[in-house]
Amino acid sequence: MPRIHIVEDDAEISALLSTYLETRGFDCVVSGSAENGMAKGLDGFDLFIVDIMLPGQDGLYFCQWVRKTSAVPLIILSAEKGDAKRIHGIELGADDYLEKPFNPRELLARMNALLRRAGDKRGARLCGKVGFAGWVLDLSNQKLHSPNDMHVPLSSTEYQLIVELIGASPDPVSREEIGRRIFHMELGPEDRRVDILVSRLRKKISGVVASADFIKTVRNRGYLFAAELRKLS
Amino acid sequence: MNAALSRLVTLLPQTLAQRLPLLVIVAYLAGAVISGWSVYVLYKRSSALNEAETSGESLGEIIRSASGQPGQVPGTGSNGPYVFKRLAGLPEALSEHTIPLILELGDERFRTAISFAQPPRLPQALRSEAVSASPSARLSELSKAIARQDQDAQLVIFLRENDVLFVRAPRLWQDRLSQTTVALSGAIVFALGLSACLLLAVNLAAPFQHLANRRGSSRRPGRFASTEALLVGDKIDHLAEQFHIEQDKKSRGLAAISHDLRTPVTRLRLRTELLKDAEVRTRFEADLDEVTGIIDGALDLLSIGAQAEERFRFSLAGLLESLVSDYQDVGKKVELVAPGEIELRSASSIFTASADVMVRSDNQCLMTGQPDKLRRAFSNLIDNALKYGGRAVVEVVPFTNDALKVNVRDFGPGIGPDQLDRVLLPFVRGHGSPAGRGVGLGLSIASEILALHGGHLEFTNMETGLLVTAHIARESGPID
Repeated sequence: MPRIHIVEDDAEISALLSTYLETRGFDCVVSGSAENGMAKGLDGFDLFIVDIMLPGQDGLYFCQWVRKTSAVPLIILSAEKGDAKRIHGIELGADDYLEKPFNPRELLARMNALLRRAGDKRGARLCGKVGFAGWVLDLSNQKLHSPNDMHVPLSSTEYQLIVELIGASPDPVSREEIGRRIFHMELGPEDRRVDILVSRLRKKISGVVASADFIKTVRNRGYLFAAELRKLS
Repeated sequence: MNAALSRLVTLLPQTLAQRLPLLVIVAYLAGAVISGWSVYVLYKRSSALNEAETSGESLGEIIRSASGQPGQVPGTGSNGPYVFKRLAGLPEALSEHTIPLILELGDERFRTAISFAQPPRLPQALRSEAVSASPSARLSELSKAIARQDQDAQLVIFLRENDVLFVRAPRLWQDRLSQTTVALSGAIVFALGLSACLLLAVNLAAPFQHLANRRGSSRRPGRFASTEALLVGDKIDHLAEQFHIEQDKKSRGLAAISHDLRTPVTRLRLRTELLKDAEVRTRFEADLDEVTGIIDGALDLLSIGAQAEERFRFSLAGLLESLVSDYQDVGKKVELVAPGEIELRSASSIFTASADVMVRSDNQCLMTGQPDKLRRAFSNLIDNALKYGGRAVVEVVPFTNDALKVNVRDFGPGIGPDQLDRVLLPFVRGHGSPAGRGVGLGLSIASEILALHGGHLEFTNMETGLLVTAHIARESGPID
């Protein structure tokens, strides 16, 4: 049973949230402030849910404290509107960000996704900016930029796909895996939607630089992102 | 030079109430001086002509007495306006501008010359026209004709026995301005004065013009501005500041309310999730979705201009394509009509293989702006179309070199003609169906975002459904 640490100053919200999560098979620990949360240490927790607005040290500070020693998944909750806080949170190492009032089922879905990914033990979490052949994938702002300094708009599934492919590179990702991660379902052998998505992304990229061909098909193994990746500051 | 100018400016009265009378007085004085001078000069000339015309008798007497007493040389004297001198023979040659003529006085004929310093203006006026005029009439005519030349002149009459009679009329035959010169110079000075007045008037109006034209930034009117203009400027600044403070207060109040609602709504969301009865839970969720929509919408509308977002160059067609893909991925009926692509294939020759030459028309619809905000604007327009029309058709059109157009069309009932200009007001629902859920914040937010991109929304009722046209500037200035 995964153990969740909820750091939230509104006692009622944390009580309701832990009740809700316990009905879904999680074991919850609640702290009312960042100081209390830090006192409980990191050991034994599989995921943190942290409110940004806390008495004393704020949630971002707690997030930094966790990241100093651990890569445990962390979701930030915030009553603030706008991207500035989200980007800041993601840059400080949060894995996800939800605005209040959030839909509890969406929180659950994102928690499950993070826990599954953490279970994969597949290298470091992608963050910041990744460069390849003059292109820049800005993970904080969720944007792709082409070499001629243009923003290339992607749909959300296309963005998820490029993140998955780059995250797995130099290994290929199988069609089934992409189906599970992006469409949250098991693909049947006749289901073409992953292939359609891949060709859509290829077209987007080659629409900007006609010779760009980063996504290779590897027979029986799936798709591979073939480019020299560079972490940008 | 500059220092002198600014000293001069400080000498000017500062208030409009003083400047206007000053302008009127200066204009009046200038007009009076010009017209007074012209009238005076013209009057002097015409009275000289009059006198010349009536003094033929005096001139006749001079000639008669001189011709009647041969041998008495030299002799001087005056009669009326005339001064004469009688010499024996010409002391010196006459000036080169001399008009000779034969003066017929009754039975006598005199060889006569009229000598001028300059070439005379009207030489033909000196000859007689009336054949049988009396001597004094002829002399009056001659005297007037000489006066009309408007310059210093002397009448030389050759008498018998080599005597010569010189006649001058210092008051009548003198250098003076001609009629035309007076009229012309009067008109020119008048025009100059008028334009100076116009300049001053424009200068008086300029600060107000400046106040009316300025936008946003509170630049001071120039240093020539009158006190009143400065006061009006200050007042406008003050009102604008007051307006911003009020606006800010209201926005912050609304933001605080929306913000404070987030915690209870979060609790409600969690409580709803714990409800056992599935049907009740669904209904609660629907209500909560609506409440969340209102809170988010209100906060969005209030803060959209202030939300920082980097500006990028991107293809609007690409942005709409990705947005439409998002809708299609979740099974919504949204179609995209992309601008056409022209493809030309170069002919293959024996030297080169046929190469694909793609001539791209402007189908990318490149622009510079804030992609996330625009994405939200268009998704609001599409949501609205889906809500009322069930399906949406999005079309992007390269409109001009500076502007793009995006059409979002639904196939619903459209909006009443009386509602067309009200739909952009927050909390107004255009389709007038009481069953319609949600509030009209989506369109207000979209309109706000387009305004940030130098554009606007336009609504047209089609045969079936509503056509919303979004105009966007390709390059809108950075938002401050």
